[in-house]
Amino acid sequence: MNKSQEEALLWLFLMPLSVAIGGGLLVGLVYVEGPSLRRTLLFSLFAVWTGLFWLWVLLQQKMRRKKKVTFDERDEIIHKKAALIGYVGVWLYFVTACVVPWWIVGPRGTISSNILPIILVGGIIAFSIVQSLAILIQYSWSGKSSEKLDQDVFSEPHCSKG
Amino acid sequence: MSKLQKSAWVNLIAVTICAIIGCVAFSLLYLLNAKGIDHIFVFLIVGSLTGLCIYVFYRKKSPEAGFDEREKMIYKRAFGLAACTLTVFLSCVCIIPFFVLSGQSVIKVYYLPLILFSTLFVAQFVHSTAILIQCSLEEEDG
Repeated sequence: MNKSQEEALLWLFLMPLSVAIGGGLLVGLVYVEGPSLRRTLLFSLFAVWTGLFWLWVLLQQKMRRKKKVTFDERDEIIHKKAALIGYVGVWLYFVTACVVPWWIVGPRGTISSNILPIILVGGIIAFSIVQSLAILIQYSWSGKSSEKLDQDVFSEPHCSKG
Repeated sequence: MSKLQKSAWVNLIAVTICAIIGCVAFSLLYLLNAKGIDHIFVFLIVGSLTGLCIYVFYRKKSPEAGFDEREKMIYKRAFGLAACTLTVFLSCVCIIPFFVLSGQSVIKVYYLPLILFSTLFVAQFVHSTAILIQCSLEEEDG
């Protein structure tokens, strides 16, 4: 397991957990005690804290550049593809989250306003899960294909003799 | 007009038409008071088929396929800007009403598809506009 896979595995559990706990706590607080300036500030702090996760990735990339090259072209392509898959996943989640309650309750019905931050927090969780899974799956596929390639190369020694 | 600018215009017009059709369709469903699990399946089937058709169409005739390096860079920057705008817009649209109304109040459920359409429209609008502005700026510079 390389560095990117370890990071993806960590993100797969850490990010959804922290976002769900932080977001859930704040939504619960506002639900129980009502909105206030303190809650708004808390929510802003939570948003900044979530934003710092992205900053952490950038910092890691800078540190990696300074140390040595461990992030090759293949890794970059995998990360790009994973980000795109995450983006598509968020859209699918978002369409489902907006349309399904509409159908269940009926167009003239009402719904708790708690659904709004839940949709937002769910979107962040969906993105991190889909992106991390996409990274892990792509690495496992490319690992298998490279292993197979190695096996093919080593199993046919006469090919290299011409 | 370059290929990138043409595709930006096409995307902008297409998303505007889709948003208008979607709003009209949802208004019609609101008037009919459509409700129930059956409608979800109909929506999912129609959505999946439409998504598949768009995917097949774009796979065959993708306008992005013939972009040069400069156009790819512009496209990338515009995509990043659209993704940032999407995140900020969605956060504002979800958080501001929640804090204004408080957690124990209720909202009309048609607010959710409205969020969906407005976010979709804003994201594509920012993407296409960013492409057109960048292209015109580069043309001015020569």
